[in-house]
Amino acid sequence: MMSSAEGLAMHTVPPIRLLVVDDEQVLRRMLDRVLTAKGFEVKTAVDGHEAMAMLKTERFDVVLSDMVMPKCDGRCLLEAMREAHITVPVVMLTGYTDASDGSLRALEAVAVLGKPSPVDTICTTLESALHR
Amino acid sequence: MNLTRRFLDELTSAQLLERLDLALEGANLGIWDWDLRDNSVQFDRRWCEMLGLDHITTPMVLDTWSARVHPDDVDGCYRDIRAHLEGATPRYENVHRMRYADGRWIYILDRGRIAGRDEQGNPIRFTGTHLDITAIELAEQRARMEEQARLQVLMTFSATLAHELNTPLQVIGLAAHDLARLDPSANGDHEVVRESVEAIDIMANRAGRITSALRTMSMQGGSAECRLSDSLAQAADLFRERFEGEGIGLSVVDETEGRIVPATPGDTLRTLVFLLDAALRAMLAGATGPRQVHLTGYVDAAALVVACADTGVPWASTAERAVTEQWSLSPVELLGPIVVRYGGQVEAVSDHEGNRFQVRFPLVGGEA
Repeated sequence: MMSSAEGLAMHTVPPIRLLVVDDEQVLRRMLDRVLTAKGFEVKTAVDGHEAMAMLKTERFDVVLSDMVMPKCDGRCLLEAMREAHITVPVVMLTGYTDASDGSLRALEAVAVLGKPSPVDTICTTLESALHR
Repeated sequence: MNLTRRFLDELTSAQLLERLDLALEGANLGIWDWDLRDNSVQFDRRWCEMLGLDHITTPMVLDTWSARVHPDDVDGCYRDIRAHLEGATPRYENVHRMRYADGRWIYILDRGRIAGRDEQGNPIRFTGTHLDITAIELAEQRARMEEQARLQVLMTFSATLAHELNTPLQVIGLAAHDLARLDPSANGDHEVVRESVEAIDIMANRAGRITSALRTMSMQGGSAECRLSDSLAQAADLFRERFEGEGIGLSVVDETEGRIVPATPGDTLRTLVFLLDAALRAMLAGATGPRQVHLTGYVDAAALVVACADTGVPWASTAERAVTEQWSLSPVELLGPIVVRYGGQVEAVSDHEGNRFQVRFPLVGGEA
């Protein structure tokens, strides 16, 4: 299935700039490669602190972040973004089943995806997040 | 039946009353006899003593009872009384709290039935007994509390497990998706294949270790011996990511020299899981020192010891905790029954530096 990120790329529209935040190195690497193949322009960060540093200096269209991370987790990232008035939409990808309870939405996460989620679902959710 | 009848017929009224009194005394029952026409109630001596009241000075009115019933229970009492008086139930029965003379609450099993009616058939006398069941009620509450506490540990553990398994599954899914899009004839894809296969391998192994530990956790019975080293490694597998995720270091030191624990693998792992769960919860409630938990297994004289030390909030005594956190039992309370079964014991020290729990199993056999 071709994502619209792929479609956009074919029409020489700039690709969607995505920041992936996850402390799990193998997962970070896989998300990077698979979503790059789907037409996203992907950069990665190991936790909320690194993500914030990147969000302050670079332009991103959407963030895909893990919830539970050492140092600064997904909640911490959302709060830091709100304090810094960074309005890039954030999609949370979490292994905890109780994270879909709306408490994250209260922290302005656009969507919460459970792990494991199919690649197509991740792509569709990231693209929908852009229009929110 | 006939013999009983004859026996009773031959007794004088005084003898009958004396025997009835002995029976009630032996059964620890207090009697109440309510005249529904004027709400006067005759309470006997035992009824009064059950509540710490003086029989001589106790007003023989309904208010003596109703004023002592716990406000949260009184509506339920009247509901059940009404149901019986209206003929909906063959007898009245209700368990409610009543205030003892010194102010504490005791649990009363209250039973009664209509004992007299007027010419129109309306109930006019309602008689029954009180039994103090505080000890039974508290024991049941305690059992429910323990059950709830164990459930709480399992719920936390399940959430941890879901997280532990979901990350490998996500990676495996992504890697499989990555492999599916490749052109087998294109040489440039070689590196992608290598990396994806490696990722699947790492994560499948991790998921396998977790499911293996889960299998052990769910085991009931079995041979009462296992290598403590194996259990320590499994416990670490189950919790390491969760601890890291919370920014808490978990150090596991194994100095058990291959010694055998005289307990089933399931109970041994559950013991370690309860210890680490307690440490995690104490740390999440607020750490007083470095965010670090140490789990150590070692041989000490005639014991094989597991020690778990955290710098979290001290586990208060049960009495203190009952008010604020009644569903939370300390590891000593949770582990005690498991460990004692194998001749072991649990010791605990909680102070401003955190908590230190020690489980000691008797040392048996040689090296594995």
